[in-house]
Amino acid sequence: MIKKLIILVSIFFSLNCTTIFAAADFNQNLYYGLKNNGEVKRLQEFLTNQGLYSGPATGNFFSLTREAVKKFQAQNGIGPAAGYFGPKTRVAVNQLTLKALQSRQAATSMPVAPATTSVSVVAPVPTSTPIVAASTPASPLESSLRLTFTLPSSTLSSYGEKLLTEFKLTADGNEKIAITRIRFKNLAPYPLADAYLVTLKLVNSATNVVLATVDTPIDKAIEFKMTPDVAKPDKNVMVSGNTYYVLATILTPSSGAEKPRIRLDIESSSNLTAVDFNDFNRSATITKNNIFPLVGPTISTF
Amino acid sequence: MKKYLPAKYLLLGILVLAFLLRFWNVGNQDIFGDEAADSFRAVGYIDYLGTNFQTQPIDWYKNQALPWWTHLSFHDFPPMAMIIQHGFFRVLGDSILVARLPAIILGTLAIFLIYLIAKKLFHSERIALLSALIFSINSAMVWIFRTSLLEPTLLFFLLLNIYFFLRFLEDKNQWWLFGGSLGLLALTKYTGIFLAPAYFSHLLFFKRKLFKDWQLYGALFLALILFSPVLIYNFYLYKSVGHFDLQFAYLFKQATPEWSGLVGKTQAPFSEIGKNFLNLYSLPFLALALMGFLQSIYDFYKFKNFIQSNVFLWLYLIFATLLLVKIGSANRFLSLLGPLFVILSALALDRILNWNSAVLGKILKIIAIGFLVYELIYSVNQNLIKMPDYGIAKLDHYFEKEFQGKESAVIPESDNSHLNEVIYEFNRLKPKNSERAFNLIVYNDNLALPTLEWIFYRRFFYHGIPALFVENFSKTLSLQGPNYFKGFTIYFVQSAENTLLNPFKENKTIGLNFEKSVQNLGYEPAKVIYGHDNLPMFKVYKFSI
Repeated sequence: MIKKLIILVSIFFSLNCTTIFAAADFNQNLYYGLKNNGEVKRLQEFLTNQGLYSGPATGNFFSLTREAVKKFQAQNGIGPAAGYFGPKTRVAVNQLTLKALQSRQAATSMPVAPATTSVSVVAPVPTSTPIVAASTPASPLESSLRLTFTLPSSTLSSYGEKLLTEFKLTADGNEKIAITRIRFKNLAPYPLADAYLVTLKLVNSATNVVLATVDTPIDKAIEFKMTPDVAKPDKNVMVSGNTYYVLATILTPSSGAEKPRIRLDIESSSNLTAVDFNDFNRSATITKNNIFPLVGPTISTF
Repeated sequence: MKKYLPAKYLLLGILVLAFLLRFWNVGNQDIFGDEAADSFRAVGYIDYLGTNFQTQPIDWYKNQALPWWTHLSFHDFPPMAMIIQHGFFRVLGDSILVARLPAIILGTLAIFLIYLIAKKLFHSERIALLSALIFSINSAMVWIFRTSLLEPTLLFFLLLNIYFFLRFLEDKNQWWLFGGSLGLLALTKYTGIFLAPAYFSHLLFFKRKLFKDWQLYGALFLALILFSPVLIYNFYLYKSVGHFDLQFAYLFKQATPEWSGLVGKTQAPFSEIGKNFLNLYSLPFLALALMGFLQSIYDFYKFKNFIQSNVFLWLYLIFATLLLVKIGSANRFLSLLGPLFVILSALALDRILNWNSAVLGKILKIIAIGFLVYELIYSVNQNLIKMPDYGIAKLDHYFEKEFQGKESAVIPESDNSHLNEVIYEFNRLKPKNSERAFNLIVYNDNLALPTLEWIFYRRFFYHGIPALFVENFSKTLSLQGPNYFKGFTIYFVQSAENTLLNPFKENKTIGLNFEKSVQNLGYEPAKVIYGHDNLPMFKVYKFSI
């Protein structure tokens, strides 16, 4: 049974990985003179991440981009290094993207081990061994917490301080789960630009109390960390049964080949820190009712 | 001959008055907005703004050689005003006063040009002198020529070009003066281009023969040659990233996502022109200019007087207004109408002073003199007394005094090799035997960007004084340990909410937390800088590790 479960999990993650990769795949030949092209923009972002391009992500394929492609081709032994983004270069870029995604998955998700080696990982603990030793922390609370995004995708008609997402935390029966950290990323091929969002706030929908603020995304991710405080309502953390929303000031991108699209996703369970509300030292698992990544609504900008 | 002597002296007196109004206390007036951003760039003649919201070729080519064409112009305007200002900085050093000195000098010389233009248009010494006098005291003209914006240089070359155009109409052999000044005007700012259709229409109405003369095309060719650096810059910029510079890209509706954050097209829209007129010009002055305009129409139809001159003024008004429809009605753009309004109000004033009726004439004369006195007082009040004070100039002077006579003992480093070259170049200019000091500035970066540029970035790049924002300082401290800053005198600048803050960063708490930690170490502010209404603007802590 355990084996089957692990195989299922493996299949899920590999499928999930493929889906993300497919979304980030380059399918077109790109060349000098292309303008306002979304794939060119993604290529420029890729080359920037590779440290080969310092120019703007305009979606225009001109000499600055061509030189960076040439450098990439030279580095990867693709000849002739003429700056034409054709099939050979595409394959090389796609492979690198896949590797990067896989290593990111490995770093941030549950380990996806082959079924044969996983047996030892999940070997049952001898029943004679005490499960909780006095000096070790309490065993994790297996919670039924579920995070549900409540807003549909939408399009903004103006900039300024805007609602980016809202989500509800639910749990069965008397379970009371607290979340002290939540990290959002945009898993679609339009990552959260560090520059577009500032002064992000995590707010309790019922009380409008701001639980945490972030100046601007760092490394294209937004992480809210709450400082528990018993003197404050709900101990100043997120608690199951409540709804929360995220506000941000959106800077004015008045022009551009592609307007920014914002989506706050939760990539994996490691992006949430959940604990028992009545015992903050006891962590809570959140994988029972949540299938990661949790994809939020898309906010399109005009 | 006797008749002209008083005019000369009067003109000299007007020039002195104009210089005083433009110069008085200008070095103590806050520098912010584009004034600060442009002046920061002019010190080193580098096109760099230090923000991810508006990057430049120097950012894009940071890992490779900077192409030669990037020095020919700037990503958001042509280079003429920068060249002039850079020359002043190189000779006299960088300060708020020197930043504005070109404008003050050009603004004084512009008085002479408006005098010559008015005289050429209406053949009247009195109208010419009245134009010069009104131009010297007009509030908008005093304001614009006390700033280090591009507009003072633009207005000077605009007047120079109009004068040479009028001379060209009389003597086509002066084509090179007309063409040369037109090229310099275009090389200063593109908004001066509204004169081209005005000239074209004027030639079409009154001097059609000139279209057959090579001198006209010679003048245009010369202007093109002078403007060619900007064309070459734009040609290569397009080849590099697929669009032209910020202004041309806007004109041709090209997407420029890398300039999305600070694009200068969010200025006041044209629909706000009425409000902005009243903000920039005094009501009596606007009323007088309107009277002058009506009189110009009346003279045209009734007496057929100075037909060409009056039509020229109307063409100026029409094409300048059309330009404003496109670019908006920000104060500095409205200042383009200043020379026209000045001449129109001089026409009206001349008529008032010439009134024949004995009693009414006297009353009108008193009103005319009253207007001049009012405009002078209004101008002094608006520009010399009610100066904006956010503590920026005071903070700048504080650091000038603190670092006086001592050069930085270290050479800071940027992650951009081209900027490092600038730092090294300016370091080489320092006197060899000067006293050296280990100074470091730490600042809260919730300030408006132009303030950061003028106060901190300028000292970092051109004075070699390390200036780090709080997060950067804390990171360096934790990475390198406290010994890294041993021996440094550290100035921490904390901004108060009353000064000009970056609206997207004003709620940052990191600066406040850092201030608390400095206070917990027992430090009090070494200097509190107060601004308008005696409100605190900056606190400067001075300490060592």
